[in-house]
Amino acid sequence: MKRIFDIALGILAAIGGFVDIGDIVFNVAAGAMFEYQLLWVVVIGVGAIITYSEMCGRVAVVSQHAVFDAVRERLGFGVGLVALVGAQLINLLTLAAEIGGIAVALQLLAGLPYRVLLFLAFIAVAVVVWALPFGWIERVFGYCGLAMLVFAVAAIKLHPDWSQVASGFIPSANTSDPAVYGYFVVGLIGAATVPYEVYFYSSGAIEEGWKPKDLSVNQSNAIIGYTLGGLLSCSLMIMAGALFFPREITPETLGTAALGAQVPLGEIGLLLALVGILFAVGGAAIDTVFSGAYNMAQFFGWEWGKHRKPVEAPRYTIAWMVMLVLGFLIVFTGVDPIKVTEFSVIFSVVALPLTYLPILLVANDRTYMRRYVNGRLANLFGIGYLVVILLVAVAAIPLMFLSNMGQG
Amino acid sequence: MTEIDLGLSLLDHQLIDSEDLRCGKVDDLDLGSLREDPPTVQAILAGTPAWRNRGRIGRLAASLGGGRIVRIPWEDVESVESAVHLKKAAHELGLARGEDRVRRFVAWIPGAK
Repeated sequence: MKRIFDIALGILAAIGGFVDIGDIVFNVAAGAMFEYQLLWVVVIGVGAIITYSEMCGRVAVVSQHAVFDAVRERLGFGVGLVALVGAQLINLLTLAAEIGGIAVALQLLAGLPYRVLLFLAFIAVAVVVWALPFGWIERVFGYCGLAMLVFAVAAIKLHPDWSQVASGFIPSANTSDPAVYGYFVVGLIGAATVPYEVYFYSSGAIEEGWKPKDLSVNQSNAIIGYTLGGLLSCSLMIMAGALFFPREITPETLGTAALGAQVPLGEIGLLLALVGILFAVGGAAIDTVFSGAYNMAQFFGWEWGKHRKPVEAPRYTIAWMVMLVLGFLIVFTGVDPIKVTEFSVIFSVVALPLTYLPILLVANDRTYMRRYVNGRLANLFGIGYLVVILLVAVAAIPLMFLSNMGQG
Repeated sequence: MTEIDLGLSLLDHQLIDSEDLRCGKVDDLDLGSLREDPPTVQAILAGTPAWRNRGRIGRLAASLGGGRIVRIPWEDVESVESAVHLKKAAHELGLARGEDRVRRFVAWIPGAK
């Protein structure tokens, strides 16, 4: 019984934790520009993150290799260091965007000046990371992030043409501007697969002391939790497709997204949407702070983990503090968090192959994985998605320029 | 006797000391004289300057960092699993001194201990 309870709680936290600022920005913008046409891309992105989360969770549990242990062992020092620098830069951009997102959500809720709220967001993240136990952080932010489900209700209430919605799941490119379409394909895949998710997921499995008997929890979190999280991404796009597309509204702030819940559901819809965004984005900010420190510690061999007291893992502690301060400073300069989000998502796609390849290699190593080595299905999806991600990675930067970052 | 691939199963792996603390990575290996047949692993080398032999990027990174190389004689290795477990504590071997340098600052923050 306790097991079923654990699994259910894990799934809930995974749904609430799935969506972050990248998903909100790209899904809402894609819906506003292409109605339901790009829903099929969400399916691909969610498939990739399920495949690799499950794999890196299993690798972490069985072989005790977190992602950057595997990166350094399999890519060697040189290429591994390049992967680390890339990952950290992307983590920083993502973190900056998420802190900005927290401030924007707070501003719409409370109405104080943006820079004051940025500072409050920074302090809040620091206090939570410093003081709350690991399990609490994941659960509290995961559950409160479930308020985002208001977007699913909003999408239904807006009465979209369901046959149109269904046809969006079949790839088609009915557009006059293929570069913008391509840019959104890259962005939606990137938003679903942001690399910090796998860094955090694999290190989290070690933090929580999962054993091979917990692999069923790992599987259900990844497969059911992320599928339902993906449905939430879809409902953002459907909401935007039903509300913004016909009116030719281009959503330029997070507030526009929240409006999508207010129109069909009123004040309570708006409130839930903002609370949901606040916790989803806040949880993601915390995950990126941790991920940055995990990566450094795993690459250089430092003691790490939230389960250690800060004096027991001092370099790891300093690493997350430096990450957080830098992320805060980037967004405090006044750059638009939406623009930072777009850059972080597009560049994350470019860096993703160097994250996925080492996981796939260790997952196939029988010495470490024993009977939990990748099966045929895991390899079919693993290799398939690696190819997809490589193609998307090659196309990402050219498409960014050709489409003028989706502006056409 | 089991066969292991040094590049894959030893190099770049995590070092864990006798107190179960992570204390560095296998940054390089000392294979003694390669003329010996077969060459044997004499020691594990850890520390920033040991990156010098790890390709161009390693050389660059080593030149930017300070510190010194810690030599861990093979006799001090307890077992090689996914990580390399050592027979002694990190401070006995001179490993993880970077942690000690930073610890003072962290200890100063309330709730760190």
